[in-house]
Amino acid sequence: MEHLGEIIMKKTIIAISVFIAMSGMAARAQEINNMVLLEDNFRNSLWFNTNNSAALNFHPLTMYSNLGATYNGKYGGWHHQQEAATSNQVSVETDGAARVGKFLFWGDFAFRNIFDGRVNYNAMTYDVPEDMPYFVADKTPSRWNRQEYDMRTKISTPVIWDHLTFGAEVSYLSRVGAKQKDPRVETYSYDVRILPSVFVQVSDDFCVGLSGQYENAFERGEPSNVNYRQDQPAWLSRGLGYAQQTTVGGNAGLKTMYYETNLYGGALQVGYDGDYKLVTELEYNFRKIKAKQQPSLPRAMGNTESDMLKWHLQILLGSTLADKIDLTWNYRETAGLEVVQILNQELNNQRWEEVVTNHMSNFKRISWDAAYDHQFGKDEKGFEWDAGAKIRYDYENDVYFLPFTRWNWSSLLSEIFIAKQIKQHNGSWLLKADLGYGANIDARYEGFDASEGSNIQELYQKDITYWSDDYLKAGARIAYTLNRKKVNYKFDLSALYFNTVGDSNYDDASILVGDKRLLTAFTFGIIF
Amino acid sequence: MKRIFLYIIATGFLLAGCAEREKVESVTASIVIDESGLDSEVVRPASYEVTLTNNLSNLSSTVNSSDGRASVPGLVPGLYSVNVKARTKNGAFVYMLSGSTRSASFISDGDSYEIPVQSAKISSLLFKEIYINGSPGWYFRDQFYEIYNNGPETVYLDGICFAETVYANWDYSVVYQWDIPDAGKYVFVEIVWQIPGSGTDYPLAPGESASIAQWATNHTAGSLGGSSSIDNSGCEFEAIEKERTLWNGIVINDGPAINMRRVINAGGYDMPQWLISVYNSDIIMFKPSKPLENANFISTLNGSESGREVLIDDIYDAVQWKGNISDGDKLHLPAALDAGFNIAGGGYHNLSFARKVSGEMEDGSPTFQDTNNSTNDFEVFDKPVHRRYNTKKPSWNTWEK
Repeated sequence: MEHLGEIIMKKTIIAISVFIAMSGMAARAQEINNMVLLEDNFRNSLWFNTNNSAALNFHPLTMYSNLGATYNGKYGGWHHQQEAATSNQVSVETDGAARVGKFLFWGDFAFRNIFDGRVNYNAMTYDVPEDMPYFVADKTPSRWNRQEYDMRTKISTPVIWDHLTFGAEVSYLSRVGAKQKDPRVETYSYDVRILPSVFVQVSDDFCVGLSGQYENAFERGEPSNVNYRQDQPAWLSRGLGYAQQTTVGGNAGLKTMYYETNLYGGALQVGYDGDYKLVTELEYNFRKIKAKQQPSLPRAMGNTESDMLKWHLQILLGSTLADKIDLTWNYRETAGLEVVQILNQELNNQRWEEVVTNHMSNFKRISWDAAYDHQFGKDEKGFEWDAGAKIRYDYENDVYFLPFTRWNWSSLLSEIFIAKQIKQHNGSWLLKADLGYGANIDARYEGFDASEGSNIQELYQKDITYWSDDYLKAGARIAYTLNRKKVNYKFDLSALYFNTVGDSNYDDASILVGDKRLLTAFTFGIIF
Repeated sequence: MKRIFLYIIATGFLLAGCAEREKVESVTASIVIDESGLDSEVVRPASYEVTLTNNLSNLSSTVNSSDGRASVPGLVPGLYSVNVKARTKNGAFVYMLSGSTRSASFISDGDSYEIPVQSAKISSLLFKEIYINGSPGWYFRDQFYEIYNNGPETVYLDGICFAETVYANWDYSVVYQWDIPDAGKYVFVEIVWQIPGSGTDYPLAPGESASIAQWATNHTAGSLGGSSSIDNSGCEFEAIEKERTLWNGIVINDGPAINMRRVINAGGYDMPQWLISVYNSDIIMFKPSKPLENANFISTLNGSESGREVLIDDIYDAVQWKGNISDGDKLHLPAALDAGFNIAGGGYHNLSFARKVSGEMEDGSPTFQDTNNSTNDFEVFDKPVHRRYNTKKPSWNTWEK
């Protein structure tokens, strides 16, 4: 049963999303009448891409409304173990920006229905976070059926004293998932984020902003077997392959598991709007996740504590804002804390009590992105050409301290793209091609002590073969917008193909482990 | 503006630096062996085998003690099961010296735990093979328990009792507390089956074994467990009081095996079978030092269970089994009775627990390992076998083919 607060939150955000969509419809803003302009709206709104919603009344988006239905497909065996081998997703999404009085609203809503095939090593959670050592794994690849309600809204208040605005961003994500093969699980989760913000226009060309962030999330998984007479093995992971074997089913089997997440943080933004536009943001968040089982007699599986630091810089150059530079740097360090507990058997007060909490593991992530693009022949309908390049560096260093075990991975991805817009009297074509090369720099999984009887190290052994690959990626997109008096119809088809480069040990016949991956998407919708 | 950026970045690093945590460091545990409880006739061993097992990871370390102390390095701070054992001999008697606990806390380097050891003459009568797992098709009526005379003298089975203990509710969220003084001296049972006899009716000579079946019939019949089951018609005893017809037409007939008596039935059940959990329970073998009363049961203080207390001192042997190795925190029996457990995995796979052979008697009959630790003493086999290792049948069993 959904929590009352959850229901109120969901209905409130749905109401806001629908309200914004309706407002956009009433305004019938025709400034944005093709997909290039729609995407440019976000490219050029530097403050939209920060945590500061308050700034939007000073640096607004162009008003628009957008509605679409999308099919996404994933095929091919080149993927990490806990990702679905095949996936078919149908979604309906709407978003829009509107002014209501002197307030500015932006909102989006998406409903996704996802049918995943052959998910491995995940028996309990909707999605296992990469830095969460405390999850439940099984060794039976299974289908998962999932549904998501994803809502977000940004509000910016009217300008006060010509210099000051306040704002807030609220998002709500509700997810339901069901594993389709014993051991099964039904999992329910919600995730609420609130980001209040304030913005000050210090001078004509200089501004600053400050935002806070609070996130609360909860996931509850109920394990079961359809064949209740056959218990199923499962593993309580403690990180990097170390695990305790347990079962789903039987009196002593795995009980309801739940994850409680709280995140606190804030960000500082600085902007310049003169000969060029610049916005930079420095963000820090602290996140704590508690993994527990059996609500009637709660027992900790473990906790994680993460420090997250992010720096983001966006620069738009040129009188028509034809050049954009986008730099991002991310740092995250997650501590895995194992809680040792003892059952206090005091009469009518039985409970698991903490004896000691050990900092057993550490998961470090560093990444940076550098992107540049230039739009040629830019006008009010879009551009003639758009070309750009992007480089992304990723570094992972995960350690389990006793016995000392390490997962080390780093990679450099280089991408280029070119896009051509063909403008017609009553429509617009967008043709895009991109090419990328991912070069693995380091990939090691070492030090695992197999003398610990029960474990799932094969998950990491298989995954390291995936992560150590060099690969080529090639994508193509063709999109068309048909302009009519009141609405613009959009059709968007894209595909992205990955192929490993060099020797690989994969069995091409296996759908679980291969060397190719194809991602496809098709959207039909309207811009109005 | 450049300066502002520098301040911002410096503040960010400072925040990240504040969150530095101390990573775990291994600790060395110190074990002190307390022999003050040993009787004077027990010879003190020069060394004990000391095993520490982490309750979370199940990773074990074993060392030998010296001068009553042992030091175990390289441990992750936490809770450990400690098992200490040695074997000594004094004249004709062999003594097992053992001590154990399931929750010794070693958090800091050098943390010490004093563990008292007790001695016991190695019991002659023990469980040799336990088949509770059942057969494919969810067939459970073929369960049996084979007991064995591991000592040098004949023992009499008359009056020996068998029972499963009652420990916690179905999901282990309530561990029962019983309304009786000195509850730690007892285990608690709901149903007890007893071998009849006047005192000398059923002798068991050294090297002989006898089996207690839930139902002593040939379960390989197609209408019963089928070919994957086992023929129990040669078992010496069965847990049957009268012939019964089941809901599906199967007749539980009363064969040549000696019928045991259900002397305790605290739940008042009228079930046609004696079913013990196929993957998560225990069995005890005891001879009550005072008559068992099938009335005036004691109750749990934190539940609605009723049961009969059994003195731990009356118990000859006890063995427990769990579904998985991670269930070691839900063990039913006190460590003094069974410091370990067998792993049954899922039910209905014909798995059978058989005690390990430790040596030979003078006539060539096997002797079996008994350290009061099922983890060490038993092996798990794919199929049950009656009189595994060619143990002898008692002379009064005239019906086994």
